[in-house]
Amino acid sequence: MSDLILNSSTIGVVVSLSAYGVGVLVKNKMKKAIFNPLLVSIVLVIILLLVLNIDYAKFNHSAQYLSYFLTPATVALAIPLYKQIALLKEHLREILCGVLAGVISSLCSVFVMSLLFGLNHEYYVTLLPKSITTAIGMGVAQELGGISNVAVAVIVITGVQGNIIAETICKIAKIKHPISRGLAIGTASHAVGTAKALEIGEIEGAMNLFRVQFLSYLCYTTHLLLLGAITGGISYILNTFRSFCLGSKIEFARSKKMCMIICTLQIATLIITWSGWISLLPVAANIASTIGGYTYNARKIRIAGMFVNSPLWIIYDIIVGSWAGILDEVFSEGSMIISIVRYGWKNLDKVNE
Amino acid sequence: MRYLKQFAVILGVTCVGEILKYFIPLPIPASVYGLVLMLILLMTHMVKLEMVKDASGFLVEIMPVMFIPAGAGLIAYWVQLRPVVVPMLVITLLTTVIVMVVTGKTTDFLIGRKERKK
Repeated sequence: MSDLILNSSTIGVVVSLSAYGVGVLVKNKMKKAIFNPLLVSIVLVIILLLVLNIDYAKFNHSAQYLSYFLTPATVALAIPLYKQIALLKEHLREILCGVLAGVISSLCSVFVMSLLFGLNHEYYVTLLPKSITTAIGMGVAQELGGISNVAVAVIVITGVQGNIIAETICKIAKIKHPISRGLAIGTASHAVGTAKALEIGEIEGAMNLFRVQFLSYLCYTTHLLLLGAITGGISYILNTFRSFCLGSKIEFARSKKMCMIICTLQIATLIITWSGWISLLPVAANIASTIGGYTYNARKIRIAGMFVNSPLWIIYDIIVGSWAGILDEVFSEGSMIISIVRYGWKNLDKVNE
Repeated sequence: MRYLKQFAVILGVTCVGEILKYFIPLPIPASVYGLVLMLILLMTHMVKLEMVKDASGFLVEIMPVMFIPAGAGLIAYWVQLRPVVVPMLVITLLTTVIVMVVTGKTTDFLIGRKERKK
């Protein structure tokens, strides 16, 4: 029997297709979101494999032809995306901001809860792409060193959950506009939730679809690219950006809003590159100096620099063994002391930098 | 022939995506390179919607089925998964709610503000 399955190029496919057929049937009969066809068919196949005592590897060998179409199918997602491009363009800014907020809240909540539950890195990165369309999420989890099969399960579960709770949440949270509803469901629970969005209304469904995934994916990518890199390194890039802003002529770049944006980015960096409590050091240091810098007050800049920024960086540099970094910070401590001696502590308030 | 041509276009773009992935090895799956490329081609009208419409509709429609083998692969990973199954369920549920509310409220607020301005 095992040999039969191993050598057949159709049994696995046929079994999967029939299971899905049953799933759709059940869904139509019961009309309950929990009977998601994909969920039902996965459960059915698992039961079948367990009951008949068939090795998963053998089944997969026979069903792999299905997976072959995954990459072209993902590429084909560009078409529904393209069909909605007009709506997307019209509300581009609102949509981008909404999705960005959703992605950041997703990353933060996954991160905080993984920490609370004490999950290791492997599970953490498996959970990260939970709100992305399955095809993409699976690939992302794999690229990051997560477990792709578990990622599929997590993504499917997220979708089903979203499908079940979407309507209630929109009501309780008083999310009114069709576009926001669609975005909310799409960002939180991707394509599987789409069915629900379509039930609620036309625009919601249209909004929900894959372009939302696409956007959120773009944001994810930027974040995930950073993953695995040293927190300090990226934090430093942000510092460069901050200096650029502080020195720029554009009013917005010099405003308190920009300060908040940079601090948020720093925190995001911390979360993404988290490699233990040590990551807190450079980020805390840079946030302190960012806030200090945006006061445009020479004394406050010195205080932030001398008592928070430099000491934290020095500790960080010692731990990671960066002699150049230690030297650099010792020099900046020195230069700050010199400037205090030269101008006098009180007079610093008047120095215009 | 219609389906064959359309499918060939999609596969061609997919293939270019894979080649791109080889030369620009970011931690992004090759399929996403293809997706972005296809979108660009459509937006620049180098690929017409009619050239891919039917085949892509078919592919997107049968997509869920393609995840069944991977999903069933859970049994192979059950040993790894069992100790974390409860935290994972809790985390997914809570984050789904949080993300939904945050995204919805943010967009609602922004769109509302824009419409009031008008």
